[in-house]
Amino acid sequence: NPEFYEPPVINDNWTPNMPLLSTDFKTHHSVLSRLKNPNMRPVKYAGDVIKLMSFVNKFHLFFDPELLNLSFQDFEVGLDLYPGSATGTASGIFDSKTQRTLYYQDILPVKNVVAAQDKMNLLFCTLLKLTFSTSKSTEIQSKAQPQATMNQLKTSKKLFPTLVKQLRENARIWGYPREWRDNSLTNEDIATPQSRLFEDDDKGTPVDVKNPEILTTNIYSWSRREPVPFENDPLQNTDLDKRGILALDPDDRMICLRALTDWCGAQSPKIRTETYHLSHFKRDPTFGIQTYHAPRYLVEGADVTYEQFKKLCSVIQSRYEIRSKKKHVKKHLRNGRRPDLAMKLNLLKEIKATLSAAPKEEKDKTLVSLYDKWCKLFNGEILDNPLSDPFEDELYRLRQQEFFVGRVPHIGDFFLPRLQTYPSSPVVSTYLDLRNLQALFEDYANGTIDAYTLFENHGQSMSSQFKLFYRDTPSLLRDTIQGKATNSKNYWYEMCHDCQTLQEFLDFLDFKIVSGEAAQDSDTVQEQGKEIHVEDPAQVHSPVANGQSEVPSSETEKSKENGEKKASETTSTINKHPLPKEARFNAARNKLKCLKGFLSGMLPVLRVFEQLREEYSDMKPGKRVLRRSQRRGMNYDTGAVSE
Amino acid sequence: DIISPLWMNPTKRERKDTTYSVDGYYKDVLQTGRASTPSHPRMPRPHAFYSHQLQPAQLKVLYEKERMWAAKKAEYEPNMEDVKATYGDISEEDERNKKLELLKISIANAQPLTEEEEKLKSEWEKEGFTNWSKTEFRKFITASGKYGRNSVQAIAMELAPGKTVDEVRTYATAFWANLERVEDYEKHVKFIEGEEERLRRVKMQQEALRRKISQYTNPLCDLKLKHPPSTNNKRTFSEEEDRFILLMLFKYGLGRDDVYELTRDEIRDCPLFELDFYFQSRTPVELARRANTLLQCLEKEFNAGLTLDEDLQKRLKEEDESAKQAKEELEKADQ
Repeated sequence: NPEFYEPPVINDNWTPNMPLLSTDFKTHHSVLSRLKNPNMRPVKYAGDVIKLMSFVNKFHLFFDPELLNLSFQDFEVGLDLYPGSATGTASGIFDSKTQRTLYYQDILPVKNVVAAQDKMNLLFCTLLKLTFSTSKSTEIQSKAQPQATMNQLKTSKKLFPTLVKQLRENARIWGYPREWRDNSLTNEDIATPQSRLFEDDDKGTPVDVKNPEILTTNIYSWSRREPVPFENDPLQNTDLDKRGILALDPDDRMICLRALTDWCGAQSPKIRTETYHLSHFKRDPTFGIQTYHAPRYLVEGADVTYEQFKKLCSVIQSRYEIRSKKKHVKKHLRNGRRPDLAMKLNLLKEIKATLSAAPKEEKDKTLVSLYDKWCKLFNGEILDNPLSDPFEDELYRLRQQEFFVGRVPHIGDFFLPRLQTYPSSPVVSTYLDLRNLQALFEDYANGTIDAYTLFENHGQSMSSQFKLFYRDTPSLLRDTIQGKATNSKNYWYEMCHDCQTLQEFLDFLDFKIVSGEAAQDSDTVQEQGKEIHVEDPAQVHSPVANGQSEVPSSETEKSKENGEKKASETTSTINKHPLPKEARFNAARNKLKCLKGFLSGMLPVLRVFEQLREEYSDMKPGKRVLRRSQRRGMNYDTGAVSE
Repeated sequence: DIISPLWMNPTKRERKDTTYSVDGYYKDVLQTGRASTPSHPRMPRPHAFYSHQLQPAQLKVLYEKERMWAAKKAEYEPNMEDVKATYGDISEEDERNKKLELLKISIANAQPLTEEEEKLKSEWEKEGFTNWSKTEFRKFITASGKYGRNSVQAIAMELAPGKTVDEVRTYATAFWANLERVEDYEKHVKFIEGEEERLRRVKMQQEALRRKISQYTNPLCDLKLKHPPSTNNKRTFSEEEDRFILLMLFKYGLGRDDVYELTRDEIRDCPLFELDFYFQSRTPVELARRANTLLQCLEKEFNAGLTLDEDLQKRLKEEDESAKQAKEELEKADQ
């Protein structure tokens, strides 16, 4: 009887996370020039820095709090790395006004440069200590402590020598990084086939007539990839004992730190225990073990996530309704033998009443506002839902891409590296579930949370600066598939480095989001009508229905901005061409819209953090300071808001 | 592998029954000028005879005869200890009989070896492989397992300074022809066969891997195992990671002993896994374990197909050969 069939709920993916598959880009070709704009710069070392930040983030228990507010810029300043080169670090920042190449020391106060350098050395030291800690691996994570503190680094003289000595002894066995291997002698082709014959010829007559098969006709030897000769080995640098990571060349510093995370991950008993813990849960995510995953609202967009939630609600609702109609369940209910179910059915009734009372346009909103009640209904049916916190469940920690902010078909992935995903305080961290995140965005946007609130709530424990990165994942994937050498190539591009450039990037995104036909026709007189006409099918074609409420507002916004942009068209180097108008790019346009939505929400947040850095810099919020600054804040608070 | 494949499980070393006597010690140390024959005669020890040296079995009989003669010459009276040494432990009733028998033989053995026997002895002693020591034999067995019994050059390489390839070849031929004459030969053969099976298995896995990968234009994205790893075990590697491991195994081949170090380096070099801490933190041992699981799954998939294929290949070869012969005959006829 179909009426009594409960729709299944377990098999579908209702988690707040979505897998990021490399097959997404299997047939795609990215066109780099599509994203061309003055703020776009190749950054060869970005992947390594992001890897390091991600490592610190995931294993934050072992790092000093001073390292948990690292921003991308701290790495650049601390290690003397400059963006703009596709092969390594650039030679500096070229200032077009003075026609001079500038270095960080020329721009920043020396104090800040030294602070960043100290942080890098502390990071180096912590990784070393972690790698060689001899703790019993049974120690559970609750006992974890930072491995090294800034105080130790600054007071102890003999911090590095023993650790560096141990590193030198072991590193060659643990596998040297690609850059420190002798790549000239043995390229990939020599490494692949057997290069030297050990014996001249194959076998003659078999010795055992009954079993004449010759199993080993010859023995081969292979050339191995050797590390660079001793005298060129950066790890043998004698200054490493004294100056730490700064003893190396800027490029080698990053390589060294990256290699150290690899060695640490494979050798450190503490990290290994933690990794084991994170990879051996009783249950698997419903989407199985995938290489990476990311929050649903970033992969699919906020609207789709709400849709998903709505769908789940209706499935759960019908499950309860069908179940309550079953004969034996009815009997149980009558006898009061299923109090939990009775309670849930009552709850469902309440929800339905509230929903029917709400006006039709606000039905979806009301549905979401009843989130807590829905959760009670989900209890016992399903573990998490599309709107729950993607960072809460440890199950997702190991393969979570915390810095991921968007994936756009035919273009690539976007990353916004900022720490503090896991030890989160809800005012400071933006690693939240979708509902709370949107509320937070609003609080920042309307000034409810300002720099002072952040200062009060340990806002300085979070990275105050940021950079937005684009990774050319389609090219990366294609090169990997074809077995091309990926080491000489660059896939990472900086798109912006502060709030002003982020705003510029958001404006730039509008050019791309505009439907191709609309942009071409916009020169003609009837642009307005045409544009709406074209935009509509795009929405229909997109794989999942969009939230209708948003469409009109974005539409008008766009046409307004379109007008502005035409004016500046001739002057700048920005690639203003929209994406090609073919239907297959509609998905990309959609995803770009999602990305823009998220980043515009983040913009006020990031702005307040920038402010925090400017106004409070390194001031520590003690009780006295807090009281004083609160009083002082009164007079210029008005100024800050009006800005 | 905790136990190295070279381990052959030698027989347990038994502690000799040594009761220490001061007198006995000084008797040996302080030569007391008398004839070197000890005051109480000893039973001569049996001549060393190693079955793996493949000497004629009749030689043993001659040696025994010689030994008894020596005992008689020394006017030795055999006791229980000698019975034990010659025949092993036997229950009470028989023991006396044996002792008597031994005595009788020893006495009756008036003659030393006849001239004819002496000649035979020296002849037979030339046969066999007396220059093959026990350790060399042990090495030979392990190497035969490691490379397969017919891989003479490889085996010879392991025995390198002591034996030449030709020496190894003649010995190996003799060994396999006279297998039954070697003590404990079942044990050795079992060991060799087990190792050979492993070699064959690696070859088969290599072939299965080659065929599997050739099925896809884009194996890194599309490769799918027909019999994926058991779902009972906790899955920790993603399918993409599994595919990458298989690709690297294919790239470098299963025969290399450093495949897993190379795979580890490749994983760290591949920007696709830049942010995949789980995959990057796997050690070569862990990668090897996973690869083994995957290869077993692959084997299952190709098991039926491969054996069939080999038969086919043989038949094809035979057909080729007969065709060649036919051609040659035709050519001869033409001339």
